[in-house]
Amino acid sequence: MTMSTLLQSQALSLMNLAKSYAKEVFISVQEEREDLTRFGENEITQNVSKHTIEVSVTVARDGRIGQFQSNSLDPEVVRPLLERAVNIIEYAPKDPDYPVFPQSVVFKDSSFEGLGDANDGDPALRAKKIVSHIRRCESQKLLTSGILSDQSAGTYYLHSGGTNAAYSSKRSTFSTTVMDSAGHSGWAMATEKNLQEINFEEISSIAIEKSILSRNPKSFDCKEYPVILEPSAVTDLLLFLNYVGFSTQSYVEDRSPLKRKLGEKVLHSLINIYDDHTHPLHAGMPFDFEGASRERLTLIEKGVFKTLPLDQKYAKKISNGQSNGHALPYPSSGGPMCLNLQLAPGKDSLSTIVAGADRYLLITHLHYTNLIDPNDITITGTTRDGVYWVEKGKIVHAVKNMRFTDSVLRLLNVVEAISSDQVYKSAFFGGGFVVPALKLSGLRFTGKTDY
Amino acid sequence: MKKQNILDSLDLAMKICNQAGVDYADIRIVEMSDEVLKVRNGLLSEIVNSKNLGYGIRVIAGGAWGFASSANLHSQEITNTVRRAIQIANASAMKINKRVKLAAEPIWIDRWATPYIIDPFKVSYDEKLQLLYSTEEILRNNDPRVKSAWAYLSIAKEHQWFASSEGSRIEQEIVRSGAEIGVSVSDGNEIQRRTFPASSGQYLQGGYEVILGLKLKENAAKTRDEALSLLTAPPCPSGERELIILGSQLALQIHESIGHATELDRVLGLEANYAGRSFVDLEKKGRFQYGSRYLNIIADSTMPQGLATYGYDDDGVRPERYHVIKEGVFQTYLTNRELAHNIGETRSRGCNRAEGWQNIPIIRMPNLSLAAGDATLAELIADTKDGIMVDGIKCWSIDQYRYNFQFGMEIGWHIQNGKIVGPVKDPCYQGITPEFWGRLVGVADEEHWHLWGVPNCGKGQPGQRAEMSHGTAPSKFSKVSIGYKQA
Repeated sequence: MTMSTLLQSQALSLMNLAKSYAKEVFISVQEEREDLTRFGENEITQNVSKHTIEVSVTVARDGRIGQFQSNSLDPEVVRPLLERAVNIIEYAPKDPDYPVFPQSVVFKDSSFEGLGDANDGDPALRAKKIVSHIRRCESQKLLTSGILSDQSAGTYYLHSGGTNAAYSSKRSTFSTTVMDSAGHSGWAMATEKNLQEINFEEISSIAIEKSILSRNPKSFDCKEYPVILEPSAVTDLLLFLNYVGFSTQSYVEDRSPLKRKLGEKVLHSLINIYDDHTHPLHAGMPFDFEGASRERLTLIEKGVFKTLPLDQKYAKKISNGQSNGHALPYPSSGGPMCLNLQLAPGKDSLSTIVAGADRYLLITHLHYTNLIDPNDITITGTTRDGVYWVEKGKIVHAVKNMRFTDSVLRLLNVVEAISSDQVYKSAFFGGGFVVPALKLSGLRFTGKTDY
Repeated sequence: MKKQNILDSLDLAMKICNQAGVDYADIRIVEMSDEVLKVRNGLLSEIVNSKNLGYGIRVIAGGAWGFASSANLHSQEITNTVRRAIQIANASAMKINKRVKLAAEPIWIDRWATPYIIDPFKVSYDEKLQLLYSTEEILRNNDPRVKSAWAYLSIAKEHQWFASSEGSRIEQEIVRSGAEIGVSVSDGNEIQRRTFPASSGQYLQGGYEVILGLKLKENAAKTRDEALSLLTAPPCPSGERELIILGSQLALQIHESIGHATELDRVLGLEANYAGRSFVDLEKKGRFQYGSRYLNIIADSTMPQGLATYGYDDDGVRPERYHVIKEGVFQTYLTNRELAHNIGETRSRGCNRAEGWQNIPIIRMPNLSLAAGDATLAELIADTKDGIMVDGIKCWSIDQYRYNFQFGMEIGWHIQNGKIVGPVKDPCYQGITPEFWGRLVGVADEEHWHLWGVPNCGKGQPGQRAEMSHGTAPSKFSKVSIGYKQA
């Protein structure tokens, strides 16, 4: 019996066991395999393999719930946890908005194929790819660090009302920083659906080229500059727009910066933002954590705020009662959330946008960006691994890193151009976004550094 | 799992590693129990009631590390996991510039456990939830300006068994407890929030007595009222001013600008691709003026109640107490067995730790504290002509060299001519690490000194979470750049 078949059979047995304690039961099984090789200072420094399973069980009775989580489906392990979960029900208040969850929905292709017994890439293959990149850096007297990871993840969802859904996905990531002995650095990253699709030479070349271009940086005064944000830098803007601006819970509770603005123009008319699990660069699940079909959402159309993500509970509160499939596991402390954001592309390629720019900063990516004021989604962070001054369409010199502090809502209102080339990237604090580059008329810099 | 089965698994893994002829091996079997109960706006909004058991095997073969983990403790799977770790080490050995060399450490056969009074897992749900419901009700107070009110508690027990090919056999049981209450308020225009005892909660090693000692219910009304006061408070004045930083915010300042900056793996460039490097390069050891003479930073994983208090780290090293910064001068880095020799030290400082069983240990901060000074808070305030006092973490950001930072706090108080004039909203300051600590002009005394827990420190690829504590007393700084909206 394969691991996946075993998991499926154990989850079904657990459902039968849990139903003997409670009328309504949800089970989700998250399985993840990750093989990751890490390198630094031109050598392999860490190399790991992990396989984890997380089972989460919710038992509900008359709008009251209890829960448990475990990395085992062994009845001996889960029975005492289940009894504790049932005990919690006794002390849980009744949720007056307790929803009716989707019943008897069987998603297409829901037979639980699981992840198999290993990822495709063996450690020697990953090492070979890394050694080749390190050799290129060594030949130019450069130092490199980074990761090459191979990751697969599966979700299996069961509801006592008969809903049954399963989904698995794969991601491989190569990310590298290259620097000279003085610390002038460049960075590049690619995430694809498997190792074979990553263009290692291209990523290696970009990081090396950026590092060389970063030499002899000039120090700029802190003020507002026109900027071109490469896609990786754009992800940090979307992360906080999603977390704060597209929070349905905050909207309903009247503490959102976009409160009462549905239907209004809130961003520049060039901006279109969707949540779209079907986008080829996303690996999104076709269902949410309540077993509802995940819909493609138009959140921002030509700058107008059109809709919000919904789960069953928030659908009852602000819509026609229909969830649009954006639930996190019930009872979500933060409400429904978009997990597959896409900022729609523009007309010109990034290279064309740079070629047409005069007196702009070109920014590779951002570091440690965090929310400083939710009232207008003001964020702060620093530039990193390549800031360049562009004059008459050409990079003329590097610029020392700076701290910026600015409002995401303001920045997405001063858009001059959006690139046609989209990529899948994560922000510094996580998430996965499909993003193009952005040309903005101004980003406010508030601090300098020596590095 | 029965104890004998655990011990048999340790022995089996070491036997297979020894037969395979690896240079070094260790295994950690970890059983985690977690419980989180959160009440938000009158409902139970988060329940964690979790058990998790598994093991990680680390080997050095061909001079390089390999690591593999599994949740399956059957003998065949242990054998497979060892083989996978060796296969990975052999792949790592394809590109190493030097063979891994571990600093010597005595062989330890020992058991260590957190002392506690009340086992938090034996306290009834009724008692825990009544505390949360009643506290959250006070926070909400049926005030329409209170948009979100929450109260949660979190308890954890980590039972760990460690065995190394050198012969160490260590069993540890760590218990920690914590909680937080908070409100988010709005008058329709402004959004503000306030938490207690600290944003992201206050945690200590210990049992349910830790949660009772936080006095959540007794502090709920004050927390709510402070948040509401921010809706009408003036904005924090900007410019260069004196700054008094209270408890948990100062703990975060130490964490970000001293703790991470002195991790030796960062300094050596091994975290360069994600978390970054450090401005505290190797030439600074023993001579760099990190701050003023008031700056004394002590690493101590032996102190009572710290979240990074343990008998042994995940290298099997018994930790010690030592100065990282003494009278403003940088002394030494945070190290593990692998990297200690890079700075000429013959023994690890005992800072290697992993999240759970599924991750490889990396250098993590021990408990890192600012030594108390000799002033009272009242004296620090009385001595301030025009300054701001701040509390409550709201935003933190620091560059990849741990050099340029900016922090935002929940609340500030304007001080003029030695007296608190009133609250101010959205306080924020920024600085350059050594310049900032060079402006430390006073630290409050032991009566004001508290240990603050950091439960969510992220580092590494794959990302790992670690816990540690920082002891602080309110401290005063001169000429700090306050605000950001002037730019």
